[in-house]
Amino acid sequence: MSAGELATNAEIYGSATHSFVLGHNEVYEMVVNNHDTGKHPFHLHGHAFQSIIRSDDEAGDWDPNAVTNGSVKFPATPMRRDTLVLRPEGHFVIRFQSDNPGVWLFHCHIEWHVSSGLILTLVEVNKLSPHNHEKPHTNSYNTGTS
Amino acid sequence: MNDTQNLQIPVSPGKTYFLRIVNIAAFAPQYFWIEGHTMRIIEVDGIYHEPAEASQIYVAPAQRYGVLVTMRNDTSANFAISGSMDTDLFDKIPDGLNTNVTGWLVYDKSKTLPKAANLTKFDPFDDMTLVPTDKMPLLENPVQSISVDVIMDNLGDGAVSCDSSQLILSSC
Repeated sequence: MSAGELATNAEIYGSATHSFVLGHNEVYEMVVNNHDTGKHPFHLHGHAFQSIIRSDDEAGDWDPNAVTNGSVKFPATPMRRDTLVLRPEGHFVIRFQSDNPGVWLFHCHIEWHVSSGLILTLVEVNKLSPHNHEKPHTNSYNTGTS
Repeated sequence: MNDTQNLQIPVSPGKTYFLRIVNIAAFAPQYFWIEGHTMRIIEVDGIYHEPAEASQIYVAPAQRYGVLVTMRNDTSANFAISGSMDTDLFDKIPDGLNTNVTGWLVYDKSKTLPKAANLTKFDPFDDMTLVPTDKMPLLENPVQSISVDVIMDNLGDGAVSCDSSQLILSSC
């Protein structure tokens, strides 16, 4: 790739693209917490994701300890689709396998929200990438915010 | 509905039809139902799932549903197919905006096309309950969990948030 060593450094894709670099054929989880009072249909390009948890309205942020403390059980065979409605002031948890190299957008599918930037970018490396087995460099590793 | 008003779909009694439903709207989700008939959801967004009965579905922009509908065994009436916009996110609803669209399953052309019921309360199927036919098990032990907060905020300066943990909508 022309970016060479930097291809897996998310910063080179620009700050406004909200880019994350994904390794090849790994399991990724995405948590979206809705701090807005409106519902948003979020759509992922390149994959159908396992829809694991979708909270009711006003459930607040996803608690990463909810499974270990027993308050929530993940389904054994979750529903799969590529567009999921995020409830007002609620959250959802999705997972997919990064088996489709490419640059994929994840965005709210309300047209004017897209125009205003409610989008993030997933840069999914292929198995030939020399960086494939390294931990991808991204801006945050934590499961919480900021 | 299908790029037209007053869509008529001729149907034969007792036959099962596969309807592919897509919401190609820029904004409004739709409640969708067929009077006098239930739908068996077998596919969402291109992924087949174990059939699930639904009397009403909620189709957000970009979502697709594939449903089987088995026609009644008599041709004594025609039945309305309804789409109704979810206007929850509309800041203002313009006077005279018609948020409903009607089509019909036509068993008999000579019978009337009934007026659709104008529902104001909805009880759509919860797609989270579907089970994929391939029974793909839960993907375990993610290598990373990417967490983002959705914030709608008028930043007023046309800038977009630089913090990857937050998706902030900005508008001028």
